Amino acid sequence: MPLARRRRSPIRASVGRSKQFDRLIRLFPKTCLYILVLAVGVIMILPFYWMVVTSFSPVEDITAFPPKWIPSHLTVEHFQEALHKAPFLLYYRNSLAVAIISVGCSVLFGLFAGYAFATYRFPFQNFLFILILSTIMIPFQVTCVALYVLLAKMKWVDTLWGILAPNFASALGVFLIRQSIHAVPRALIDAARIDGASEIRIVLTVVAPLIKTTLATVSMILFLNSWNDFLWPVIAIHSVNLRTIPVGIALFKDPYHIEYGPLMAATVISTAPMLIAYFLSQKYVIKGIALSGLKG
Amino acid sequence: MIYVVSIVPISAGLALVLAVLFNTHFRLKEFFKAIYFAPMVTSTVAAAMVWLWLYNPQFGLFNVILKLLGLPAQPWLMSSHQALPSIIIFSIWKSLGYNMIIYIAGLQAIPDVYYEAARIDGAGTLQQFFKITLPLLTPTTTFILIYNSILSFQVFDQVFVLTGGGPAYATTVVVLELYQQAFLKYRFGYASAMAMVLFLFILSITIGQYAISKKKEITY
Repeated sequence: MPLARRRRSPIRASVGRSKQFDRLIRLFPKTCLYILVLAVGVIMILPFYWMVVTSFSPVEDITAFPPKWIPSHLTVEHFQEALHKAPFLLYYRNSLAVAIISVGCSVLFGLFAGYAFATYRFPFQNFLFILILSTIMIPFQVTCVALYVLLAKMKWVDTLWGILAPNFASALGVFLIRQSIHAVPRALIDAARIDGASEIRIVLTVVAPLIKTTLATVSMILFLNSWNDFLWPVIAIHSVNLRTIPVGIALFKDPYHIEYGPLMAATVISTAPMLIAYFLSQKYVIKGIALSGLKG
Repeated sequence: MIYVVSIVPISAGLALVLAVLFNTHFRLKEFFKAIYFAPMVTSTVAAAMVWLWLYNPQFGLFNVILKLLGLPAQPWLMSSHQALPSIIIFSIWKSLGYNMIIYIAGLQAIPDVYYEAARIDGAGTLQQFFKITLPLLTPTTTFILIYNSILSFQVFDQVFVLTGGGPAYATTVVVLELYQQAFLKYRFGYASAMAMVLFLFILSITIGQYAISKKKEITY
């Protein structure tokens, strides 16, 4: 950072402060900054920490006062009970199936639709593209009732297809993929055409590898959205065996008598894999999400 | 409505302050960024479950800490006065990381020359912040305000988990009411009408905020 270094020396020197005072001035904000960042960091992490502690603590620790920050001994009884009370592994399978199928289809459709919008010229092209984009603006909450009625007419309520139906294609995916295909040199596509490659082959073997960062970002965002989605699955699914993880967790609690040990164990079971995956790839995840938005 | 009005400025303001902090260099910066962002990637439902436990009036961590500090315990979600603020606190916790990241991106887009010029002219740190950073961040702020208002109008998951709309309808938000009308009472027509109104509301807010910020925008 040559710029930063240049900033300090000549101007400061001319003001003529003593060196010690200068250092104090410089260190003071830094300390404050650390304390503030640390304090907020503790607040941000505390719920996660408490979730893990509660899930591993024996029952008498959970209600102890003063609170036991570290469990007196580790126990997995809450996990056993949580797994006994609700088929979380089945919920996992459902969530995973929904996420993988919807992400796969959305990326595939997005890839071909994006390619078409980026390279072809056809009537109503702009109109169609804006039409697709404007669906991003309409919140899902607004359309869910109509969607449910539609789903009921198709007899898809209470099936995994029901959850999947609105997620086969993603307008955001089409948009992001189109933008990055725009950046692919036209000459490469033309060269492949001259060599006799079919359009489908061009998309899959020429274009797709070139925009793999975008594809990865889109997949990740869609996966997270699908994995954490709650409103639509809770509407579309009635039977216990088809619940996804968020629905399973939300309906896991007994409204009259909540046992927090098993409940926290259940949340650990459902959040731990995602959190671990996130911390392993956090830099990339943050960048991708900041780039294109994620519904909360 | 109260939910939106109170949550948007608070979370935008907090995020801005944090982003300014994070725009300087310090050790473990990436680590802290990751921590701040972690609530964003966890599912709202699971996170809300944890907070339900934290808010527990008897054994929840918040009241336990209050007791340790010698303060009276609070009913949190059980009281019709505190339930909504409690949900707001949760939502701020959840979205803070995202807003902060967006602001950091906005801050990094401001050219260093402006600060250099200001420093030569003798502007202090605060002055720099209010005269340079804030005006130049207008597009980012607009985005954050619009994005957060839209999201707040759509809030559902945390309310469903934490209070279910109670006590005494103190936390019944639009989408929850919509959900209950449609899928518990099977009044699809009524719910669809609510959905339309919600959509128009969100649309008009978006357009309004966009128009206001367009006027104030400064080009660089």
